[in-house]
Amino acid sequence: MVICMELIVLYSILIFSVIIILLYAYLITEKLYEDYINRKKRRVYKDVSGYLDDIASRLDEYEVTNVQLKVLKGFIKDRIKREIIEERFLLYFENLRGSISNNLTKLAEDIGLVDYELEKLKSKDMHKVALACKNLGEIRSKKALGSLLDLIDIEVVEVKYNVLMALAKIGDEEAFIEAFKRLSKTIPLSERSLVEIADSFEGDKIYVYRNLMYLEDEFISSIFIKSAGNYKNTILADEIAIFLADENKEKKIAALKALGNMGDNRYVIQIIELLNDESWEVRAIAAKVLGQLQDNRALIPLVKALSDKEWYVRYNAANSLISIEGGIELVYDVLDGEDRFAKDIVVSVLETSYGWDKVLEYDMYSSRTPKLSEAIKKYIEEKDR
Amino acid sequence: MNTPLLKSIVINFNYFIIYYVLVINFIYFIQLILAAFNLSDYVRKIRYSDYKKYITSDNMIPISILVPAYNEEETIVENIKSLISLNYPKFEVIVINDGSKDNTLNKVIQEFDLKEVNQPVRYRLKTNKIKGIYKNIDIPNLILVDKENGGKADALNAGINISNYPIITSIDADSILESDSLVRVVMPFIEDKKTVAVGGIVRIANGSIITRGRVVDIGLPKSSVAMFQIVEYLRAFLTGRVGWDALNSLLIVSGAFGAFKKEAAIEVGGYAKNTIGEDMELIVKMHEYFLRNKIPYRIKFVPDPVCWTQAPETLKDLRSQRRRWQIGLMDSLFKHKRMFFNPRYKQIGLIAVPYFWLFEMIGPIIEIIGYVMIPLAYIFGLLNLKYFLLFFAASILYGILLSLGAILLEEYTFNKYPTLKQLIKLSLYGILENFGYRQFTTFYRIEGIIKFRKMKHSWGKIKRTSFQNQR
Repeated sequence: MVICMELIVLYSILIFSVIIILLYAYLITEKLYEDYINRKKRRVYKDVSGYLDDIASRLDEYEVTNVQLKVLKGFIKDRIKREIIEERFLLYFENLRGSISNNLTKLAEDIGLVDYELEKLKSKDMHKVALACKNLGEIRSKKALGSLLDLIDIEVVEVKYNVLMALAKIGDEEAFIEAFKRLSKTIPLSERSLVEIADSFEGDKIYVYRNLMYLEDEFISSIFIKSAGNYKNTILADEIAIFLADENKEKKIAALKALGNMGDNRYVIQIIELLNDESWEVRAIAAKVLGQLQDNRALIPLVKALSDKEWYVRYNAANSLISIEGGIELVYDVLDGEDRFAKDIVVSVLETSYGWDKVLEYDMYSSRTPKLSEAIKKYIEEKDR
Repeated sequence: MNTPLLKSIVINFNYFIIYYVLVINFIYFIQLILAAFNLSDYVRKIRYSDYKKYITSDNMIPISILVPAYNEEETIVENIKSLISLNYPKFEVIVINDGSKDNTLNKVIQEFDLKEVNQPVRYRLKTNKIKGIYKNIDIPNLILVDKENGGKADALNAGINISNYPIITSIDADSILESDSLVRVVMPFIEDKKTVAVGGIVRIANGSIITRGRVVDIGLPKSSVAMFQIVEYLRAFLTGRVGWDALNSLLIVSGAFGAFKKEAAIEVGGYAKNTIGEDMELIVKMHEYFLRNKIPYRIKFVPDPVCWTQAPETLKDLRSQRRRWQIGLMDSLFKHKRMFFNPRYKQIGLIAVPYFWLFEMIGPIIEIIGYVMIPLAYIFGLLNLKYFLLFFAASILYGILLSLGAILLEEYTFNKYPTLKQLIKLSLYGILENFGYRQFTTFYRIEGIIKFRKMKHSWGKIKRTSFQNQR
């Protein structure tokens, strides 16, 4: 038994040591190789990037010659030179928009860079695929649309995200709509990441919103309603306002947020009505949005909302109330009332969001007695007692 | 008892110890390998991550940073300054003064010119009485909460009650975040809506230069105690946490830096008040709750968002810290003993919890018995020299190899200590820690086991020094 154990210990130490030595060797080899590549890259960097920069800077004025194309195609065949070309292209796309960007996309297609990225989409290595999707999105080549759509059903979050973001950047309306229609309800991506993707769409956004806001899938539909709000184009306001009466809570909230972002107060009456909605989340958002719209028709309904049974509704109502012109006058009425929760929330918001300095400033110009600051102090003292 | 029987007991027990050492080290090696793959995956993922896009995006999730403070007058002001200047679209910093006996409260009030406000509190989690809330209208994202002492968990729960945003992150008052750490720790919530908690890596700031709440030059400390801990942290985070993350079985998200979905934290009852290991307890509670109710969820470790913390430089403080960790671990494991080898809790019940019971909790006891029994057995002629040497080879060499492995992972991935001199120093300490330091920490953990009943509800503090221009 002792001999057996001795062997186990010895072998295990030996195996573990070999693993560590191999790790060390791998690390050193990797670092040396990296160093070698970097040195080689430095040697050719100036020539390759200079050549490409020269062509790219004159794309608006001159056609790329066959000789230039041939040279660039040659670069793509060499790993290190291709890396430099790719880096430069990504840098251009990060900083350039408009016709020069379209010409660059065409150049990337002509020299085979897009084909090279498309080839990577076939890899089984999901990191490679996700990176290729990201690069294709940056290059904005429509040549990639079919291959990207083929990947939409892959259940790898990173790939799915990068496919959608690439489609958003390429900006082809039909492909983008198709992709979202094919997404299942169980999509693992968060709502915020999908809104970010929708916000990033570079094609005709209005066309896309009009197609995707009405999807039966309430999750995707509310994402595009929210994104439409972020777009702040009032052309869509009427269509968004329809969702204020939707049965689905998510769509209602999305529509409220969108109209709040747009600052369009044509629908203020419908929004005021939502202060009585059965869902407290809808009431809370309605209270918040009324503050964004700055419409004094909302003042009295907001005072009523200060007595809502949900804290968030009261909090948002108090913030909106004091932010709308004339709202602060109504604080006296709240303090004279019976509802302790309404008084508490309004005093809290005056102190935390509005600021005591502003309360004092208000008193300086107001002829009302007692002064608001005194009325607040009196209420606090009574409460503490 | 007759001598042959006694001899047989001692010998068999010694066999058990050496098998135990073999098994535990085998598990560590599996972790190391899993961690290597997981880290390699992460490093590749960074190449296509869109996190930079989100730094300026309105779609980034707003976050509430909770800073529980108990007698933190030395570091709290710098810490707050560093936090409010973080690179993140929308966040608030909530400092919770848990009835400090020193000048923590006044220092913060004076430094940031805070005024008491009448903010009603929505007690979604029960906490001790909140005595006051302080704000400065010109620093709208800073909130100071003064409350009656109730322990760190109680302070964190109070912070959750006050918070306005859907993600909360807890940061120790003696820690510093790197500028884009928040974005990186929140990205898993953006990428996967099932995410309920994310842990970031905690690194030791001793030896680094810190100016105006920023680590401007990463260095290694002169203190040997801190140096050993650097190696230990690399092993714990880059091997341990990353390895468990690969198995979807992370049981600890460090209290020094972790982010949580607020609704999920409230759903499981918030931080447990009657424990000093509230960080582990919250995570284990989440696992139990979501698995029991068959709700899909994800708890992630991200090795990149860095939180810098001060490591104790004296053995006295180290002893207090390790004792506290051991008590926290035991408390959490006892509270969730029903998960032990329970298939209902999947890999958590079948792998992670049993591992923590058998190796992390009982480990120090077995190790100490081994240190005593084997030499004794050898002295009394019950064991031969070969066995005696085997035990030491097993326990020391494995330790060295694992530490070197962790250092290698660090060098391969994030390379925070890039010079050859730093690599050599780290490797040297990776060897030296097995001769004394490791045994000391084992004794401290034993002390934690002994004092478990008596100390399981205390805050436990170590002496901090100011970060300002620290080297």
